[in-house]
Amino acid sequence: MNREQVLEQLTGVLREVFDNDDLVARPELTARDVAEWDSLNHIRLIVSVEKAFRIKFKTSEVSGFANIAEMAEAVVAHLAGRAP
Amino acid sequence: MLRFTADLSPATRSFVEDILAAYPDHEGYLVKSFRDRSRSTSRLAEQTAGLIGRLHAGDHRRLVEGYLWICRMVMEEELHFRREGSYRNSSFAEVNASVYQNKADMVLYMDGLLATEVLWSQHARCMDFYVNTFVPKLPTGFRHLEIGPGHGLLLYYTAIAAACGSLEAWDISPASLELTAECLARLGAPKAVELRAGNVFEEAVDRAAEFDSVTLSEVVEHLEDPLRALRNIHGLLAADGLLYVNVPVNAPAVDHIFQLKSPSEAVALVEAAGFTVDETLCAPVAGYSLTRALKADASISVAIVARRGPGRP
Repeated sequence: MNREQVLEQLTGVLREVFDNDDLVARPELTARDVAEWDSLNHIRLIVSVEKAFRIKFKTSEVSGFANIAEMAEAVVAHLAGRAP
Repeated sequence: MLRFTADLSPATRSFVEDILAAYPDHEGYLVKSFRDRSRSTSRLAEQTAGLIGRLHAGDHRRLVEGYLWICRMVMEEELHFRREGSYRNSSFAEVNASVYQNKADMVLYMDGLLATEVLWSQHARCMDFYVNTFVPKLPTGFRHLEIGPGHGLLLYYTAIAAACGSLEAWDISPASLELTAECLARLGAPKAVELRAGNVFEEAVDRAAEFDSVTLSEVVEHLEDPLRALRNIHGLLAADGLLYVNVPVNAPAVDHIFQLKSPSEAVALVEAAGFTVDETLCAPVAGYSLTRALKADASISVAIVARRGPGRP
């Protein structure tokens, strides 16, 4: 799965977690752009992404994504078996 | 984002600004937590912020430190809960060894919990429900018992009620009771509170029908057998005695061992102990409607007023 495919699937996850059908997983999207994206919902997002892609982020990754692009790249790396 | 604190009452604003100075990323959460509070909840939160200021002589540093600790802890436990679908611990022995015996963490935890009474909408709403719905139902000269009084805020709010006759509080931890006594003294509670080291499983023996009201706030989730505890409390209450229970569902914390998955499970638990439920408040975590919280298994504080009634459990 490449980054674009991951971003497409992430859109569905974002919409489900934040209960907002207008959200699109743009690479530059950050928590500051989404009113409902607080620290608690960030945890829900992380675990929803893990379940959607059947991966498990490392503890260091959980709060380390600067934007959706970094999250998508981490997903691609996990799927390819080369997680950081 | 514009600072929202200008709209808050003075004691609340002072507290929130100190939190945001240490934890600026928390502003989004706090905006949601203070949005849409009723006038009654806002007014009581302001009173509570004043009481907390009195407990800490106007110095919020310990409260801020405790609040940051509790936020970090909740994030770690939430991650475990979301991944595994259950709380990390399930036995008293586990949390006693890892949490209750850790005095440094317990100080932070207690201070942090105090802060949440103002900062977390679900806690502020339950406090409002307690003070403005439960306490006014109690009869003149009521004899009151609280089990697990913690910092003593609910005891204080009960003690200042004109109808209050006598107050007693039990806790298994003598250290916790010392904290309660110290807090009540600082708050200037107008009535004496008899504090007893003991638990509801042993103290309830030979105390049948001695109380008109019992408070069990944020205790159920710490018990291995809450049904047995509630049955014992049923026996402690006079015939028309009232019970106040506040229990969070889907609320992971390092010392929560009994998991309820919905408000209806909380109501069913109280009813299984022989009580008749009069009123229920469901207060979801900030930013969630009740419908969305139920769908997402998000945390909901459930406050229940129940009546002993004529039946036996």
